[in-house]
Amino acid sequence: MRVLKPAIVAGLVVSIPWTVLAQNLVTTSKNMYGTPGGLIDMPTAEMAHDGELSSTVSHFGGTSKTTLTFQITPRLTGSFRYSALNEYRPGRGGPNPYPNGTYYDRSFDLRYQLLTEGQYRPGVAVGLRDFIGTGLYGSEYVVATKSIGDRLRLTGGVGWGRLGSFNSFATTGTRPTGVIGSGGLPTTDRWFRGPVAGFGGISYQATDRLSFKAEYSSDAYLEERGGGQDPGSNMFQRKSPWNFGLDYQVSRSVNVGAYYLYGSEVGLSVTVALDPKSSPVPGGADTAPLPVAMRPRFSASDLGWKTQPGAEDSLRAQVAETLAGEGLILEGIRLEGTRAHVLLRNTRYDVEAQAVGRAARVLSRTLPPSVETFTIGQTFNGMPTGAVTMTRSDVERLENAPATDMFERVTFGGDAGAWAGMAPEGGSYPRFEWSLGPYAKLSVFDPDNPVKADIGARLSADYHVAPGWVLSGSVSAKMVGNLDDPPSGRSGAGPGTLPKVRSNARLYSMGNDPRIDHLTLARYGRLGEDWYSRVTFGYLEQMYAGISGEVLWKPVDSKLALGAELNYVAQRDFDQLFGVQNYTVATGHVSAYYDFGGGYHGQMDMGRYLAGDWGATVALDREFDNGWRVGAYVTKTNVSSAAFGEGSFDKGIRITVPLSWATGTATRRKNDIVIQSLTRDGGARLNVDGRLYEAVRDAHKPQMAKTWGKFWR
Amino acid sequence: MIVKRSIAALAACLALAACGNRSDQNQIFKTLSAGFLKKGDQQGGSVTPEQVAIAIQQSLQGTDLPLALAVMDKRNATAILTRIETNGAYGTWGTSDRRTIILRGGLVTGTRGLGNDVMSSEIDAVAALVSARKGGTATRVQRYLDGENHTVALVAECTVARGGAKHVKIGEINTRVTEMTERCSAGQTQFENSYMVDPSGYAVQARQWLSPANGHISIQALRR
Repeated sequence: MRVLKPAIVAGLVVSIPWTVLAQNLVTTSKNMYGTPGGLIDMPTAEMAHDGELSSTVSHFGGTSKTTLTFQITPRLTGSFRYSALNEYRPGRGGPNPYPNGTYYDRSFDLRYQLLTEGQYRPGVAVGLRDFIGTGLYGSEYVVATKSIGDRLRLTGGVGWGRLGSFNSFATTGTRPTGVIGSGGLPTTDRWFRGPVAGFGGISYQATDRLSFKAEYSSDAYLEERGGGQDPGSNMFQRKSPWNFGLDYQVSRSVNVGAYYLYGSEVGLSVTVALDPKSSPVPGGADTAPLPVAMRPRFSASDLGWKTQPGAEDSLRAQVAETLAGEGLILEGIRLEGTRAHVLLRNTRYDVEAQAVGRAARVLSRTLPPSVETFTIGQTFNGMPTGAVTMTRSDVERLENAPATDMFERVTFGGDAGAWAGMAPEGGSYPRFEWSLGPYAKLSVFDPDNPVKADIGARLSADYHVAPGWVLSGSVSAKMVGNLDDPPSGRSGAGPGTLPKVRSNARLYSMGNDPRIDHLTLARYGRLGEDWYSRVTFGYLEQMYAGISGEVLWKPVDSKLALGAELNYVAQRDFDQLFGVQNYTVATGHVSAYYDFGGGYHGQMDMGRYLAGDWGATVALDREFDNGWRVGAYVTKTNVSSAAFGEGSFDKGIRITVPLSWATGTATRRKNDIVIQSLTRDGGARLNVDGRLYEAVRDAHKPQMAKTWGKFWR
Repeated sequence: MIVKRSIAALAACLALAACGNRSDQNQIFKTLSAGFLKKGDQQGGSVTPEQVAIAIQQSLQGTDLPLALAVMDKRNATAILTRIETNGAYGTWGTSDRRTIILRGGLVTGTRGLGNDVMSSEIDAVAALVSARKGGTATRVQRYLDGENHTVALVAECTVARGGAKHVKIGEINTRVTEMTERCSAGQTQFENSYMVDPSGYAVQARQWLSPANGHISIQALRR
């Protein structure tokens, strides 16, 4: 499991309304499992605000849980949990195989609100705890919650697994016991089987910030107590089924709780929640755009500038300079009597509509009155991606109208021909860009170690030879770090039988010598309307060198895109210099991307992975129109679970945080965080920069439509 | 010496953040400009009347363009606005630090660069009453961008009432005015605007509500 680039934490000021109104049983409280709920160790039917992303750290009885929870839809919650159990003996009292005495466990939960609350009807939710992990926390439940007035909520439910382990009143089928070896597969053979027990509780919102709670727990804590009998207890003593506690909403984003559990233990929890939908500065705090300049009346037929010597050159220079004032770079311009084609490089605005809107106003101020049609194109590494065409009269007429009026008047184009043969603007090519800075590479939530990291310095440079041609390189040197620590416990065990295409990552992190992160020559280009291409050659990534080719079909107004990628690569030497090893593989995928609307986006890749295994990856993301993304993916290939090793198949969670959301200032920077199951050899893909879909998509109609309101910002 | 300095620069690069020549490099280090307008001296925060008077005088002498004085209470900020562009009945008025206010007949229809900006407005009916100095009711619409950059509209029902006659004398403005008030209600949001309207129907002085984050802005024409 790794996290690429640390998340920004400092800027995450959040506004989640902390009203506790009984709308669809929403709560800002989290329980000890880090899932939305007003009780302590027991679940409820409550949900968090739609889209809320929260992180909860809780501790009691020798167990610390860190849980990341996302309210996927208003009625569906997903959680990922990393637990550290001190002195835990797996298998109810067996020897602890872990030298440092702490057992680390990862688990996933899903809960769905089957019934929303009515006037008399309680809200009802069904939930699965630890449904694809090792099953340590495996339990299922059906729970009902009813609010009485604005402050009081009553909860009652029935549970299986852990939640059926104390004082069960019935049994449904038989449930396999014990912790599952390598985990990673849905534990369907256990769901809703075995002893059933009842649990319940009550929560009372005393003030806007403070709430009290009491519950009856149906979890006997057999695992933690070692063999189920108290004398063998190695973690804590469960003396009572009753738990009591309170939580306090410190600020809009922070909630803390304190509890007295099982008649013997004190528990604490802290939750930090944030709402991707609300930005600290709605609409952004960028400085004002230039206003539209009106043409003098009757001037539009004056074509004198076409015949004036030198006029066109000075126009170009003026356009380039004025665009630069808006943070936009002119890649090329073609002026005809009444039309202008302008190709931009947008290095500032994360919302493309804003870039196009600012460019349109610049053109209204700089171009001769006879130019009536503007076509403003966007680029990625010199490759035209999408263009918006508008009339200058509309720009003048609709400056103070709602942005939707302008949207109805513009046309989007993905035609490459419009830009063919355009001379690049002087100074754009060739050009050299470089940067030097620190880097941190984190690996968190390993089965062996909660946090590992390398810190060092990285020098990177791009040489843009000509439009579409990029020579790119990056060298880094580690200063300190422990990513190369030898594995112990589970992550080293059962490595599977596949070629080691990813699992020897540690060997790439050894030593402090400078290493080449990548060194590539890439060519981006258009193969016609709707078609895009990329070829990248060289040292593609940390572990592989070779050639990578990709084509993408993406009509400018389509929510669907199709792509194909073919790579032939050799595994690089562990020292990450110029040598390669003798493992080579042809790998590639066909991909489909689809924007379902409503903020949901899907991607499917089918093909051959690095170990030569065949299979498919399915990814589903919830996308917020300010750039936030929270998603999950799974990869299943024709490798058996045994051959794959722990985790059984590759899966992970990915989160994208746009920096503009936190700072309020337009910037294209963002943080991508990937929480992956163990880095294994099955279902592993090549990492290559500049994949086309993300590069092209933002400049196309479906994406620009979502945030078109920024055209006039 | 040079070597030493280079090493120091290099160390700064590595310790603080990246350095280089990429065009997006330094964007994120620009902080939010809370001071929409020029703030006063460091200690007091607000600008003294004397400072304002001097600024007005200097501005009037420095340009022939129409000028106005703007004050935002909530941001404790004062600025001279210069009309930098017109588009039909709309004028764009800018500050020296690149924030703009769009006015029509002295009424705000948009702002840019203040954060939580008014992106566009429908004020035809309100403006007609105010300009004619007549009481009545009208609908006002102000549009904003939300945290996801979606356009959201605030639709308010407003009651315009005529007040007494007054006289305004500031800068190059010296005119009789009629005081007009506008009380608006849009669900939970309630706000009040007031205008001093000259005989031509132009609001030479106005105090208007912009948005939840910005509160009210007061704009005083200095030269039309």
